[in-house]
Amino acid sequence: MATNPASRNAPTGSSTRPPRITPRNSDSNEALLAAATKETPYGTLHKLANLPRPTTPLRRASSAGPPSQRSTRRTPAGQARTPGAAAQRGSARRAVAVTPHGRAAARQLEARRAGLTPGKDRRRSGRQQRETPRDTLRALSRLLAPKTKPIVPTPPAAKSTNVNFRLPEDDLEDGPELERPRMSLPIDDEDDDSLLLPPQSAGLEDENFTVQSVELGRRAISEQPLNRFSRGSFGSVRLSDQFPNMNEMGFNDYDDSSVMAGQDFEDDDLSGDVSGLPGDNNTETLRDIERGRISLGRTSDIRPTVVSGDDTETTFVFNVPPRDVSELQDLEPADEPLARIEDEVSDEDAPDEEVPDEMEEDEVDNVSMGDHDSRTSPQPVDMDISLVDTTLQEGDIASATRPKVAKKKRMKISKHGIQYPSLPPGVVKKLATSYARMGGNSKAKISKETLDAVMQASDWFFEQVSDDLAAYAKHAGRKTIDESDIVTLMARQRQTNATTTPFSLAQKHLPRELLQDLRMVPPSKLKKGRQLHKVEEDPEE
Amino acid sequence: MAGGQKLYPRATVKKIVKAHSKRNVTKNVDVLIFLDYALFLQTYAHLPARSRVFHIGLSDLQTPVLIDQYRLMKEASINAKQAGERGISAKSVKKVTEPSLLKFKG
Repeated sequence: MATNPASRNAPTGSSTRPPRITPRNSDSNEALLAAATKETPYGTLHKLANLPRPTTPLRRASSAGPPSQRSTRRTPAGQARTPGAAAQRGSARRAVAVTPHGRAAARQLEARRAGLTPGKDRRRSGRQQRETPRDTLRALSRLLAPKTKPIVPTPPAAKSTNVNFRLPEDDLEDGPELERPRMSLPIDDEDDDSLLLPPQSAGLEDENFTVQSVELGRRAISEQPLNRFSRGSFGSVRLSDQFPNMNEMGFNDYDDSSVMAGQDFEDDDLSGDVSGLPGDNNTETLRDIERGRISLGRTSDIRPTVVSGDDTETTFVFNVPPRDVSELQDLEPADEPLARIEDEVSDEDAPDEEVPDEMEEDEVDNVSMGDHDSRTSPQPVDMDISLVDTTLQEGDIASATRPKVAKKKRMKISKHGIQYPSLPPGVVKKLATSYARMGGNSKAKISKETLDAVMQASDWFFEQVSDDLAAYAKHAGRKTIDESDIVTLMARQRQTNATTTPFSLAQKHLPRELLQDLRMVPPSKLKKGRQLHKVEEDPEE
Repeated sequence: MAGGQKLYPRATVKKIVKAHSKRNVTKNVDVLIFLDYALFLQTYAHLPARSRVFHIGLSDLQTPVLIDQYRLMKEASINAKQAGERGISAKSVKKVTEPSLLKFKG
């Protein structure tokens, strides 16, 4: 037993092998054959795994001569040592394999090596046979690709051909194309013209109030930015000032009239109607006309004849009689109205001013206002009248000859029918001046006109703010405007935010005295839940 | 801004608001309302100092870039400068009135 392996392995030169190999080698040749028959890939792998030291090819090569002789003997050790040898011998021996399983395995191995597996056949056939519609399409596209390209250019080519063929016709074609739209459009245009023109002419010419009411709506729709103002401030101003006047006018005389200062009209008709013109300061109405034409409608109600004058595009001059008899008593002639008109209605120029003067003279003769006798004279107008117009004139009043008038507060009437004063111009001027100076104009002066404008703006501002506050209070179910309302308002105006509280703003802008009052505010702010918190204060100051 | 004297007639403000809103006004609300009015009238004087400097520097170029807030007098003065006027004209004030009011629409 031991002698065989020793003699076989000795030439390999590995002393360790003989003990291991011995058990297998001890088998007879038949056993070796059986082992060979067992050589499935698993078996060979197993052997390989069991080999502790794969013999390096060098040693073999060195000993190649003698073992090659042995190879004829086909010792299992030689087979097992190198895979290549095993494979060769395995393949050689498979033919010899006895068991059916071994044969089957050998066959399969050979089949795999040959690539004869049925799957392979399938693959091969599949590759050839795979023709999906996509492939056909591809093939088609390849075939057609060169053809299709020319197809694209063909349409332009066709056009070009057309153009080439019909140079004159093209012109004709263009002509008809243009004509088609013309055909449709001109008809529409004609219709439009007919539609558009009559309304304008009708609005101007007709004295119908309905038409003018239409104008009211139109203004609201067309001018949205103005709209907001008109609702809040401008409109209300208009309402407050003119309505009462209108009523009084109806009672007293038709003094209040919107007079078209068309040159044509002046001579003929106006004298009767225009009685009120010169004396009153109707700048507001003028302004209104400029912004929206609501005033037209209202004024026109009173006097249609005047409206007809509009066609000539003349400027409007509205005469607003003093509201109250008491005010009327105070009335005094004023040069100011003209100046105001100029200021406020910068767009409308000289003709307006001149016209009223002329009108005044005429009116003096024709129409004597019971109350307004003094008015006809070009002298400074009463404080009240000026008040009626807009908030502007306190400075004027101060300058005005009569102090008593100045003492009187000019009251305007809000849309709720409540009289209210305007902020004293002195205060406004002081504020505006200081702010203007802080703005970088150290020398900034505020002229009277500017002050008037600022006063007007502040009136509008207060009106707007009041409306907003009222809306907030109403929404909260309160009848009283609360601190929470103004706080909300300032937040919505983006005046206050997380970092800027109303109180901090107040510290910046308000004097201490007022701050002291404000200090009362924060606690009340905390009490927002409190709903009916009525503190009615009578105007003390 | 106002010296020792009273800044504004409180009763008047209250009356104005009351007339327009047809609602009563709580005790010290008029102060806040006047504060709002002051802000409305304000120039850039009360912007933070650095932005004020920035404004002034830009005003030389007459291109007000940082108009983030429409404030009446501020806008008016800018407008006036652009127009090359010395003072603030009524025209510039009027021009600015509408946007300013819009800005202060609650």
